[in-house]
Amino acid sequence: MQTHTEERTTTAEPATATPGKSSQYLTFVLADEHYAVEILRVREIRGWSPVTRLPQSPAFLLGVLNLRGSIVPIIDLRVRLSLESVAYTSVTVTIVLAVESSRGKRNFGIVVDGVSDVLEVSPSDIQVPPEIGKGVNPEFITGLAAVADKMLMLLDIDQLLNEKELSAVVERSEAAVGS
Amino acid sequence: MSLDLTQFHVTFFEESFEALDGMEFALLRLSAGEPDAELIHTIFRAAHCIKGGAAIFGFAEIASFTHTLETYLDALRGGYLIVNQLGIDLLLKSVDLLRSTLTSVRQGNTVDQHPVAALQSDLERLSQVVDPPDSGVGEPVHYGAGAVVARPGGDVARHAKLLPGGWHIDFKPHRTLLQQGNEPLCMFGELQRLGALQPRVDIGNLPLLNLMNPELCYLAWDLRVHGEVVRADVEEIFEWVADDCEVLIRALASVAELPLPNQPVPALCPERAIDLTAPQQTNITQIWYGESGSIRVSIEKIDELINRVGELVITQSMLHELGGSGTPEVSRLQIGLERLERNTRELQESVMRMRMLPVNTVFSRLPRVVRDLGRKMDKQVELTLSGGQTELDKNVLEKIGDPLVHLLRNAIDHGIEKPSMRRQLGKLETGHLRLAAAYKGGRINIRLSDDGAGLDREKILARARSDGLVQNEEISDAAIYDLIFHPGLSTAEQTTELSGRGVGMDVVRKNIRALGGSVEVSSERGRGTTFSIVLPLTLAIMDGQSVVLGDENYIIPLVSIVESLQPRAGLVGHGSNCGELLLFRDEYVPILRLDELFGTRIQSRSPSDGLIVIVESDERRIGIVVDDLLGQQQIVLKSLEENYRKVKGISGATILGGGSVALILDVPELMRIAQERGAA
Repeated sequence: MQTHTEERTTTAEPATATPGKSSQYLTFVLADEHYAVEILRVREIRGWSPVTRLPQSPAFLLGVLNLRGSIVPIIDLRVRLSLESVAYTSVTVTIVLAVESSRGKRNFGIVVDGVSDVLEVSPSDIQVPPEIGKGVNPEFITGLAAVADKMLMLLDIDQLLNEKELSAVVERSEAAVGS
Repeated sequence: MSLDLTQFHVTFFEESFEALDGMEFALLRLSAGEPDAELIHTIFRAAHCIKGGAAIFGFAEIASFTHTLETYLDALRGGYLIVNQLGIDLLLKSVDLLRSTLTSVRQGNTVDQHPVAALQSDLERLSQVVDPPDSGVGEPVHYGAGAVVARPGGDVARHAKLLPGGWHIDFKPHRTLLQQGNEPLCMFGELQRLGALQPRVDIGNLPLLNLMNPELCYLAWDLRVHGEVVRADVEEIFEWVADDCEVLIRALASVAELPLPNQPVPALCPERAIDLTAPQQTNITQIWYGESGSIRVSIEKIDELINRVGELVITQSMLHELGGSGTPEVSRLQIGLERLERNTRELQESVMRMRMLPVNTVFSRLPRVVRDLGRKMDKQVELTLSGGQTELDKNVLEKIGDPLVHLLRNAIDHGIEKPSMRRQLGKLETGHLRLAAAYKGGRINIRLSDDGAGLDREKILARARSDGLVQNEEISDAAIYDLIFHPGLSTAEQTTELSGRGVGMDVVRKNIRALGGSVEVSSERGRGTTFSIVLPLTLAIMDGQSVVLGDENYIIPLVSIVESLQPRAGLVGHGSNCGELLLFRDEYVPILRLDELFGTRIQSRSPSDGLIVIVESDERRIGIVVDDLLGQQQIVLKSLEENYRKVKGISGATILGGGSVALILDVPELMRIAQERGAA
C-alpha cells in the first residue's frame, strides 16, 4: 500500500517571477470569471479529447491522457474549484502545466471553459486575495490582479494536485474498500 | 570564475566503478605464478584513473589510498616486485574497500577511516620491501589539478648491472611542454634514428574533453629504444626539454635481470619477475576490456526517445486510417505510408534494443563470488561462463544478480562435494559450475549446472511429508525437486538435513517470477543439479490481453492468465462470508468484481452473464469478471507514478494503437485485495 510522506515544496518552482519585474500570464475563463497561470508553467494547450478514467480517484480527476508518450492526469478545474459542472463544448480546452515537486518534475492538465489572452502582470498589480473570495475556495488563489479591465485570479497550480490531497484520497478510498 | 565541479561527480563515480570492475576483472585473471605485464598495466591504469579523479574532486581519502595502491602496482609494473598471492588478495580487498568507500562518499556518508588505514598500511608494507633508496629522480612529480603521479622506484642501475640492448625512457612532459615550442613527435623521430622505437602513450591524465586546454600536453610516454645505443645520445635528445619534463632513462634489458630484493618478502613464494621485455602488442593504452566504441547515455534520454518513437508509431497509424483509397495519388500515398509504418516499427525495435545490455555485465562479477566462496568452504570450484553476449533489458539485469549469486552459493555450499569426497567418488577434485545464457524464443534462458551431489529425492520427500506438504504417494521426480522452492520447506533447519538448497529458494523463485520469469530444477543423484531460469528480454514490453468492462478497456498481463471461460451458473456459488466462488478444476477460486472495486459500469450482472478470466500469482488464483475479451497485443508499459501516483489494483498504463490510454491490471495486488475481502 502506497503512502506519501513527502511534503510538497512550493518554493521549488521551475520559473518563478522575478520580484519587481512583470511576468506573462496565460488567462482563461471558467464560469465567467477570469483566471491566470504563469505562462512559463504552461507546456501545452490542446483541445478537449476523451480521457481514460482512473479508478479510485477523486471526483475532480477526470482521468489520464497520452501526452507524447507519457501518461498525464487531467483535472476538471470546475470540479476542483467547487464550481458547477457544464457540458464540454468545442471551445473547451486542456491546459497542460508543469510543476516541480519533491519527486521531480510532473505534468498535469486542467480542463477550462476557454483560453483568452496572454497578459503582462507586474507584481505591483497583484493583491492578496480577501478572506472571502467569489465563491471560489481561496486555497487555490495566490492573488488578485486588475489588468486590462479584467479581474484576474492567479491560480496556485502547485495546490491543484498536491501530495497531501492525494494521500488523503487514498486513505478514504481504502476505507471504503475495507468496509 | 570558479568552476562547479559537482556536476562532474556523477561521471567520476560512474567511471570509478567501471574502473574498479575492470580492475577486478584483470585481478581475477592474474595468477601468482604467471605475471602478465598487460594485466598489471590495466590494473595500474584503473587505480590511476580513480586517483586522478579523486584528487581533482577533493576526495582526499580515496586519492591517498589509491596513491598507495598505485605505488605498489608501479613496483609490480616496474618489475621491482613480483606478483604473489598475498598481493592479489590485498588488491582484491582494495577493490572491495574502494567500492564501499566510493559508495559512501557518493551517498554523502562519512567514510570509516579504520579499514582504509589498515589496508593502506598493509599495502605500504608490501611495497616497502623493495622501496629503493631515493635517487633524487624518484620524487613524486606534481602535475596541475592535484593529480599525483608516482615514480617508479628510482634508478634501476643501483639494483642491477647494466646490460646493453636498449633503453627504457619514462617521459613525462610538464603540461607546458608544447607552449615552450617543443614537439614530442620530433624527439621520437630522433629516437627512432638511434634504434627501433617502441612508444607507449599514457592517456591516464587526459581530462574530460570540455576541460581540455588544447595548448597543454596531458600525455606521458613510455618509450623503449632497442639496439646498441649510447646513453649519452638518448640523453642528448631530452636535453632540450629537460626543464619541461620528468625523464627517467633506464637500461632496458636490465629490468628483466633484476636481482630479487634481499629483504625478506612476507609470506610469499619466490616467483618470477615480470618480463617487461616481452613484446608489447599495443602502442596505445587500451581502456579496460572490450567495450570499445560505446558511449554513455543516460536512461532518461533513452526513455524519452522510446516515448517519441512510440508517438511516431501512433501518428503514423492515424495517417494510415486517413489514407483511404481512390485516386492514384492516394494509393501512392498509401504505399508511402506502408513504408513509413515498416520503418517506424523497425525504429521502435532498435530504440528498445538500446536499453539492452549484455548479460556479461552481471556474469563478470560471478567468478569473484565463486572464488571467495570456494575458499571459504574449502572447495575447489571452477566456473565456466558462456553466452555472456546475450542481451537483456537493464532493469531485468539489475534484478537477476542476487538470485544468481544465491544459486551459485547454494551450488557450492551444498552441491559441490569436498575435494577428498570427490576423489573417493571418482570425480575430479575440482568441481565444475557452468553458467550459460542463450536466447530461447523471444526470451532468455540462463542455466546453472553443477557436477555435485545432486538433490536427495528421498530426504526432500520425507521432509515434505512430515510437514504435510505432500500426501500422495505417486509423485514425479520433477514435482519433488520443485518442492525445494516451497517456502514451507525452506524455512527451518533443513539446510544441513536436506542436501541443502533450502534457505531462500522460495525467495529466488519469487524474485524471478516478479520479473515475469520462471525457474525450474532438474537433478540426478550423484551427478549434479541444473537450474534453468527463463526471463523476458525486457520489462518495458509485455504481452497483454485486452478485456472489456462496461465501456472501458483494461489490459491483463498474459503471463498471469491461466484460462478464460464462460462459467455455467451452477459452478458459481456463494461461500459463507467470502463472496462469490467459482469451481475451477476441483478448486474453489474467489471471484473479484472489478466493477465494485473500480466503480466501473459493467454489463454482466452476475459472473455467469459474462466471462471469467482466471489469473494466477504466487500459486494463488482468482477469477476476474469481464464483459468481453478483445485481442492480445504487445504493450509498452508506462508509469502512472511519473505524473500522478500509484493506483490500487493498477500496475501502469499503456498507449493503444489509436493513441488512447488503457490501464494494466496489477494481478498480485488484486490477489491481495481479494484475500483481504475474503478475510473481512
